Parts: sequence; structure tokens; C-alpha cells
Amino acid sequence: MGDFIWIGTAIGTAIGLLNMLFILSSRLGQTGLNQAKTVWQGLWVWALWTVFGAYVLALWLLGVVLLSFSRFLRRGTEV
Amino acid sequence: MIVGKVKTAVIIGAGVSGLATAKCLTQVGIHCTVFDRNPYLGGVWADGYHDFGVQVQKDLYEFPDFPLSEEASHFTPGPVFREYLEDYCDHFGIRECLRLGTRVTMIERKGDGWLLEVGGSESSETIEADLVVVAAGLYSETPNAPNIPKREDFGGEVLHASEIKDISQLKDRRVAVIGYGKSATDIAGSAVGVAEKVHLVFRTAHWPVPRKLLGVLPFKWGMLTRLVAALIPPYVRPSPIVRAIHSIGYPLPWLFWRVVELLLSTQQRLRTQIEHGETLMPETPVEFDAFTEVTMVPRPGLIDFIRSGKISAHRTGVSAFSSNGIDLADGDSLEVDCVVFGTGWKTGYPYLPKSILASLDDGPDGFYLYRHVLHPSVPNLAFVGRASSFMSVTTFALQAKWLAEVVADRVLLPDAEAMQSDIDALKSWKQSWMPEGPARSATLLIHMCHYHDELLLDMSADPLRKRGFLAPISELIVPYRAADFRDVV
Ligand SMILES: Cc1cc2nc3c(=O)[nH]c(=O)nc-3n(C[C@H](O)[C@H](O)[C@H](O)COP(=O)(O)OP(=O)(O)OC[C@H]3O[C@@H](n4cnc5c(N)ncnc54)[C@H](O)[C@@H]3O)c2cc1C
Repeated sequence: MGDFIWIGTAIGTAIGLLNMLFILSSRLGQTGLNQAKTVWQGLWVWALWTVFGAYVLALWLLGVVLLSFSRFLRRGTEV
Repeated sequence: MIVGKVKTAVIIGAGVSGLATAKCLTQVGIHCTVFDRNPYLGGVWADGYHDFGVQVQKDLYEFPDFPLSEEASHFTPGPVFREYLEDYCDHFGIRECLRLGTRVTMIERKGDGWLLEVGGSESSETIEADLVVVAAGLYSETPNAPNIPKREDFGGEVLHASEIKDISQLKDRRVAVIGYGKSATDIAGSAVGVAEKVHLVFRTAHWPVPRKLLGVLPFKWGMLTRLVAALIPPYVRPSPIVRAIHSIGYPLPWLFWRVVELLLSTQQRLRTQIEHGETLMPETPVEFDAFTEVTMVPRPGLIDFIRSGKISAHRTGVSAFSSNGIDLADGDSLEVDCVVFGTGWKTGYPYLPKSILASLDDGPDGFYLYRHVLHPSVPNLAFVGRASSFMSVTTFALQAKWLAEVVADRVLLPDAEAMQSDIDALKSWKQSWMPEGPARSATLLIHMCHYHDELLLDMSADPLRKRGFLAPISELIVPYRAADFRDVV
């Protein structure tokens, strides 16, 4: 359990960092956009991905299982 | 595309979009004349069917810079909204632009501008304008009534939902309402207890959205946030994170929508058995069905009426009229003395010459426009209101502001080629996944926030509208209200 949370948090941190970098690169320097808001938004997005990374990973795994199951069932009914 | 100096504009339609356009163009010094064929302003809000009203909470459906009064209720009733539009007109001093009871019958090119033929009941005249803005709405041209055989055999009355001004028209009658959208279900619900018998006949079931999810949470929280917008089929130019969510991350949005379906079907008991063992369960997944033209937030009580048999629901087509009713495709015959079509409206622009419709590339989806407003091949013709959204008043107010900024040269358009390739991208994106329909080109719905972002960025305004310390969280999980756009329009 502890390992799973660490793995999820690490993945969340990595995705969050990329998401933050995208926000910064697409908004910083654009006319009309508030720079402080951009940085604040980026930091929060990173933090949220980090905090919820393990939950997102758990939901993703659940989705993988249920999606595969539903595709399998659908294939069954189509046959 | 705008060419030359625009000094005068004609706006066709005095509904929400026409009034917003008149306000914004007047503010940048354009002399506007607003024509409406009806003798009153308000468009769809001027004269609707019995007990019609807005589908969403009032903070979503009001002008960002002119809030509805504190006393106005949520799901604002039509007549209240019409009064509000009258007040809007007076507040922004646009009443003198209005020429009501005057229909635009024809427009043709004259130089860079336009020559228009307009007429009232007695006379017609020709006027010139540098810019024409079509704000004629998607729901007011011609009532859509399916062509059902043997109509002449039927001894009863056939009406369109828009003709039911007072539900007592259906008193003590046996009624079949055809359709499963907002107007059909509203009329069927209102007819319970008034009509002798109410049937609701529809071919396709759609996912109804309850006003409150799980009976507690207003639906906007579950459907109209940026977080949810990231989980629907991605917008035409998705960010890398959204692209990742819909590729490797796909099990996440898939799971989310299946949970939504489970909640919607359980809360509204969509597995209720109706005639012939059918149910109300839709076949199309909710994340795609939400983009059909029949997205609806039914009045509370509709499903209970169906469950209790007060509305007898038939999930099938109508194959023909008979002398005393209608024959259904499932073999049943309904004895009725009134058939009401709640089957929507046909969008059309009879005053636009064929050559212009051809230049707009009008097809089965309607026509696609740059930012849903302009087309590079038809300069100085703009459309405001050709975009369906859950908060249309805000969407149209932003469109009107964007157009005024373009006319005032404060928003610079890309060249014609770039505009066309943008239009082509929008078209192939929609055609790749969105359900077909005559207004597919104009459909935005849950994607409205992405469209608003584009308009805001063009106007050098920040698409992130939430304020305060926790704004980044609000951006994700709190739905936008009209008021969030106050300082832009
Ligand atoms: C019952 C109902 C509920 C709705 N609920 C919602 C909701 O909750 N949220 C939402 O976003 N949207 C909702 N809508 C959609 C609504 O139609 C739009 O939000 C908006 O009001 C459309 O405004 P408009 O000005 O673009 O068009 P309209 O209101 O249709 O106005 C167009 C005007 O153009 C005039 N016109 C047309 N042709 C001519 C001509 N040749 N010459 C002169 N005048 C002409 C017409 O007479 C009409 O007055 C609802 C619609 C209905 C009917």
C-alpha cells in the first residue's frame, strides 16, 4: 500500500511538473494574461497532481480493468 | 472577414444575440439598425409555448454586465426573461436602434457592403449597410414537423409545440406528443391532469440531466466545470495533458462517464419499463449524447409521470396517421385527437442568396465559420448566436464583443487562408466524433468553455476568470457564471 502511494505520488509529481511547464510556456509573455496568476496556477496544478497522483493512478487502474472487461463482454455479445 | 471602414450595420433579429450585438457595435461608434419580423423584441423569449422557461440556473443565463434581479427565480420563466431583455435594451440605450415588425427579405452585395430589402406588413424599402450581422437564432425559422404519411386521413388536430400557448388547448383531449427534447417533455408534463390521455412518442432516448445531481448538487457542478471539460472528447486543439488523458489515460474519462451514466440512470430510474418492454435507457454513451441537439434538463416530475403511467411512453417511430390517431412502427395504434410535434426547428436563412450560402459552404451540418462568427469568403457578413451553449447569453455577449473589437481593429484577424484552415480543422474535428445533425457546425455545449477561451485570448483577456487565493482550484471544479465575464463584455 505504502509503495503504491509512493509510486502514484511520483507519477503525479512528474505529470504535474509537465502540466505546470505547459501552463507557464503557453501563458507567460502573452499580452493581457496576468503573469502572477499564471505562476500561481502552475504551482497549484503541480501540487494537485502530486497530492492526488495516487488516487488518479488507482482510478486509472480500476478503469483499465473495467474497460477491458466491458470490451471483452461486448466482443462476446457481438460474436 | 471585415473589409473597408464599417460605419453602419444592420442586425437581423432582436433576440439575445441581436441586442448584445447592437450594444457592442454601438459602443464602438457603429450606427446600428436592428430589424425583427416580430412586433416585439426578445426572440424565443418573446412568445414561447405554455410555461416555457430557461433550462439552467439564473447565474448561468444572464448578461455578464447586466445581472437578473435578485428576486428572479432560477430556471427563469420565459415572460420574466423577456421583461429582462426589455430592461437590457433601455439600460444600454439601444431601443432607438430597433425596427420591430420589419422582416429582412433579401440581402445582396453592393461594393464591400450590402443592400437589404426590408418590409413590414404594408410597405417595403431598400437600405444599405457596410456590415450585416445575422442574429436570427437557431430556433425560430420554420417549425420542424416530420413528414408522416396519410396526414389528410387524420380527423384530429396537428400542432407544433410552439403553438401551444395555453395548456388548456389540450383540455380533455387525447394527446400524442412526438419528440424527446425540451419542448416535447415540457408539453407532455404540463398536459398531465389537463388532457384526458397523454402519450409521448420518441424514437431515440437521450440522457436527461436532472436539475440537481443526486437530488442535492445543481447539475452545473457535475457537467460544466473545466475538469469535466477535460474529460469529454477533446477540443479541436487540445493541450498535451488533455491529449494524454484521452490516449494512455483513456480508462480515466471512460470510468468517469460510466459512473455518470450509473448515477443518471439510478437517480432518474431510466430502466423503468415502458410500452413493449422498452426502457428509457439511451444507447449512445453520455459523453457523445451530450452533443446531440436534444440535450435536456427535464422539469422535475417527468420520469415519475412516465413511471406512474400518467404519461404513456412509446419508444418507436410514427409510421402513419390514421383517421382516429396514429400508427406506430412497433405495431401499436394510438387513438388520439391531437398530435403535438415537439420536434424542434429548422434553421434557415431564406434571405441569403444561394451564391452566398454556396460561399459559406452550407452542407448537411450547416456552415462552419471562423470563431463561429465570420467567413473569409463572405466579407462583412457576420453571425452572432450560431453557437449552442448552456450559457448562450454569455457566449453570444462574448461573440458580440469579439465582433465589435474586430470591427474596431482592436482584434486582428489572420489572413483568409489561415481562417479557412481553422474552419477546415473545426469541421473535420466535429465530423470525426460529434453526432450528426443539421446544426452540428454550431454545436458547442460542454465545449463552450474552450470556445470562450479562444474568444478571450483573441481579445487579450485572460481565460482564467476565477479570482482569489484559491482561484486555481476554482478554475478546475467551480463552474463559470455569467458574472465571471463581467469585465470583458
Ligand atoms: C424553451 C427554451 C429554453 C432554452 N433554454 C436555454 C438554456 O437554458 N440555456 C441556453 O444557453 N439556451 C437556452 N435556449 C436557447 C435560446 O434559444 C438561446 O439561448 C437564445 O435565446 C437565442 O437567442 P438569439 O437571439 O440568438 O435567437 P432568437 O431568440 O431566436 O431570436 C432571433 C430573432 O430573429 C428574428 N428574425 C429571424 N429572421 C428574421 C428576418 N428575416 N427578419 C427580421 N427578423 C428575423 C426572429 O423573429 C427572432 O426574434 C432555450 C430556448 C428555448 C426555446
